[in-house]
Amino acid sequence: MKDTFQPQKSLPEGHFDVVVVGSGMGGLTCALIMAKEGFKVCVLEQHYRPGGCLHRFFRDRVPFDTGFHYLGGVGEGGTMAKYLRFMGVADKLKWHDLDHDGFDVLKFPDYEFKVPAGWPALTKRLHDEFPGERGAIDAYAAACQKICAESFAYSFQKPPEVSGEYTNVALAPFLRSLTKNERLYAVLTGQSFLYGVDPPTTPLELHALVLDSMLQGPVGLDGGGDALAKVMVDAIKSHGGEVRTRTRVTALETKGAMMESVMTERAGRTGEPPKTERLFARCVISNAHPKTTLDLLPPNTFRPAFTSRVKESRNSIGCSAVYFQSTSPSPVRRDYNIYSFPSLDVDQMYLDRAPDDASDRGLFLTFPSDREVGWDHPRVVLALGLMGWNEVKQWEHSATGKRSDEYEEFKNRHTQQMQAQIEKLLPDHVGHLTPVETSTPLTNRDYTASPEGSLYGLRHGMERWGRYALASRTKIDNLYLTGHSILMPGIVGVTIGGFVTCSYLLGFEAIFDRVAVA
Amino acid sequence: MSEPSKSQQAQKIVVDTLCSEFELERGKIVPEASLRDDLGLDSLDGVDLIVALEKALSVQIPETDARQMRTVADIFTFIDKAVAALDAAPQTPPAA
Ligand SMILES: Cc1cc2nc3c(=O)[nH]c(=O)nc-3n(C[C@H](O)[C@H](O)[C@H](O)COP(=O)(O)OP(=O)(O)OC[C@H]3O[C@@H](n4cnc5c(N)ncnc54)[C@H](O)[C@@H]3O)c2cc1C
Repeated sequence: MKDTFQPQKSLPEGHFDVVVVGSGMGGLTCALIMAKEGFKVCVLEQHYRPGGCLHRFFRDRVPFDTGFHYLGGVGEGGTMAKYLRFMGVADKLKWHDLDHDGFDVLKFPDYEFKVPAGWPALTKRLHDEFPGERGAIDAYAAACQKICAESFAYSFQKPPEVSGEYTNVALAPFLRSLTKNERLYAVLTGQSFLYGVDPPTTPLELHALVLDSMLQGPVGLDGGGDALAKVMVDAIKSHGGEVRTRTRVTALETKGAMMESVMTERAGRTGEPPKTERLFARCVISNAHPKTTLDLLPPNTFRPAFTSRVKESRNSIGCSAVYFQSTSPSPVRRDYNIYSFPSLDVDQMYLDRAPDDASDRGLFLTFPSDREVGWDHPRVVLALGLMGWNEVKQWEHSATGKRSDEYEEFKNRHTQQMQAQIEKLLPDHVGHLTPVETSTPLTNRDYTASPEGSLYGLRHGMERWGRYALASRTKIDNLYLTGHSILMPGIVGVTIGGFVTCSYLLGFEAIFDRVAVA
Repeated sequence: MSEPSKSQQAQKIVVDTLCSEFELERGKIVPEASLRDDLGLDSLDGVDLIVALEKALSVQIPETDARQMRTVADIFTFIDKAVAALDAAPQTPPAA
């Protein structure tokens, strides 16, 4: 094994042990681990706020979350709790429970299923709803739980042997081998929004890990994604690290076969030119999309095999979001999310739609004002709909705030369609909803620098799972990758991913054995 | 001169892929060359190699076969096996 990475004493100004490109949860996790271990760390973020998808924006002081609504496993014994404790931030976050009797409500045209927290409760409800399918349900639950138990970074159990028997198994064929019941299939694939892959090409392992983390105890965070970003940034700073916003990395520079420095550009005040600065790094961790990372490096840094593998990887699906304020006086408080489906055919939601297709789309609805403790703003309703890049591609060369009238018309039409679809689901909000903002994959691309506005970076289909996964190590010894394109998407996924990335620098046992007892 | 056999054609694709995708000298790509010691391909390259070969040859390389590939000849052996399996398969197009 290679020697582990050690901090260098008294680095001059502008020199760092670790430079992290991008302040998404993955980048912040790496930065905090390394700062805590005594390294001189600097995080560089192009946006004016840190957090990437954790971003919460405000309209008339009313907060709206963009890329973080809920997660799971922060309670006693939970996976995420251990990582947060290790980082020393667990007690600074105020989580609120979602309804454990039904945290996600799956609404199909003539059927509804409430997903309860915990495998025992979920299995029981499935048994009750599908009495003829006990065998299928038990086999499904057993496979998912085995997958989680065998993942050390997840369960912290050291199984006598890791079978890896499900590594090459896709979700849809697996379910089809167990049941012919279309309704059961729809229920078991209904939360696929959480990783954004169509069931036929979803790795069963990915499905199991993501779903299990939610079943461990779904929660929202008071203060939203911003609260998590702030706690992480404060902790990085308390360990001597720096987080620079409005600072875009414009080039990753190599010397010989190693990374040497990064070029940065900091936006000036209005009218002033941007300031450029070169920062020297003993090690660079890129939290930017892997395709972006390649573009920042000198051409031909990697062999064509690697470059084309990354460049040809598909991005995950994008989404639109409509952010509503509501004046509904209804006493109904929703401490759960709704997934709504145009039909039982979940697979079909992931197909490209024609830009003029006005039919209902797969939706995710969440109600932070109904559940956040201390919310003293008007009520809000957040609606996300799956939207492929193809629907907005024709405007790809425009920038935020400078798009065409045609695009604005497209957005208005889409907003109205979403509102009509939502009003069918929320009769108590009819006549009370005002759309405040609408985003599309273009918006996501421009704010989080996510190519094609993809929800989760590179797509996590079977074609990129198991041995096909992109490693966080690269052929450049001191360049690492992190974030949702690498291991798994979602806040829990990128947090674990950040630890995996750092384990290449610090040693696997040196990190994970300590997380296990955190 | 006779037409190159399917196996020879496939071997040429392997050599071409190693040359172009891994920037290796053609002369070094001999059957007995060790992928690691002679061609300098490490475990990270291993993944890229499998992806590149699967794409160039339009085959799936099962993990057990991939793990056994230590030399260029091992790749050729696998290809021969895959070509033979293809020839033995009935000539109906795969179901959609
Ligand atoms: C709409 C939406 C809803 C979601 N809802 C949930 C949810 O409820 N629960 C959940 O767990 N997950 C959710 N996710 C997923 C989750 O938010 C992401 O998977 C995760 O936050 C991604 O983290 P990351 O570390 O990969 O980086 P990102 O958040 O993608 O951040 C990358 C950062 O790098 C910066 N960057 C890129 N290039 C440069 C450069 N050249 N110079 C400087 N900075 C650069 C970007 O500006 C960005 O801030 C959602 C995602 C989306 C899009």
